[in-house]
Amino acid sequence: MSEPDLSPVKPYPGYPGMGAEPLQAATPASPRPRVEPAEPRSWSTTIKLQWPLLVDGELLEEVTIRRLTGADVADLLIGGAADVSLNVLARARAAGLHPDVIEAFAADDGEAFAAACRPLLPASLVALEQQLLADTEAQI
Amino acid sequence: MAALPFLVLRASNLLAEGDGGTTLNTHLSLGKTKLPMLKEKYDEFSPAASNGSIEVATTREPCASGFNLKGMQPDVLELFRTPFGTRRKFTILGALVNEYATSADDREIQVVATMWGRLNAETDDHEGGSLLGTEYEIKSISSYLLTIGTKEIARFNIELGGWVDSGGQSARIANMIGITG
Repeated sequence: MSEPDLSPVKPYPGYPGMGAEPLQAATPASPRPRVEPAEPRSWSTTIKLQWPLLVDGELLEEVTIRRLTGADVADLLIGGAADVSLNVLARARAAGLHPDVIEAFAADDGEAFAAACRPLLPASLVALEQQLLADTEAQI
Repeated sequence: MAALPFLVLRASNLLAEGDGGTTLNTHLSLGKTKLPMLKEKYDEFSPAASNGSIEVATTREPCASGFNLKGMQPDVLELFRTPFGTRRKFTILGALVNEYATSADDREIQVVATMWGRLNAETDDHEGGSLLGTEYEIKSISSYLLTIGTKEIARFNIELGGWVDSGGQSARIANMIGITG
């Protein structure tokens, strides 16, 4: 039997809620900065699928891939599913799609997608992938 | 002897926790909220040796809460899909203002009521030209905590013996009967 978590449902992250200090007017301790890419165009690219797919009944013809942030990479490393490779997870996250969708791309679309992703993925991940490919080729 | 402060509830809000820990903030459509009542049940007993009778407290009423939202809220209606054996977290927040506070420090006091329960929903009949609303009930509440300011007012946890009292009796009883170590 464990104590249930009776902390209040938080209306926004960092909400102090009830506790030791009485809550005055809700002013956050310091305003959060508004951060956006300086050159949005270099942060994403769009590719058209030659063989479009139906995902949950909706047509998917175009995929927009956005550059991964540090927070994305941290999430990937912590929460990756065991049966899906890090590369697929990273690409899925960059495209905003489920990994199953990436794996369902026609082979040519898959290759075009992987090539389009490469400049937008972190260099370390790309290096890891190239190392893996080199190892596989060496074995073949 | 200082008088009890006159605390007027100036605003309230209800937050529900959705799947994946998302927060559903109902403040735009919230109509009424009702906190779980703190009520005992009694059996009336007239001892053979007495000419009067007494209501003996036997147990407490189950915790139940409710609120209503104007319009329809797909995200809140979806909370009905709660598997048996699980519950969802709800928090009712309120802001009390002391009508006669002498300083700004203690003029506003927060009310926080958090509970784990299951949601029922009843959508009103729709009539042309009227504002449709949905009545929600939070039932099967297994744990509940009410705090006003920094003071804990009521705490209930069915798994640890029910309502916590002020003298530690519920804890001693729970120890005696082997609920807690």
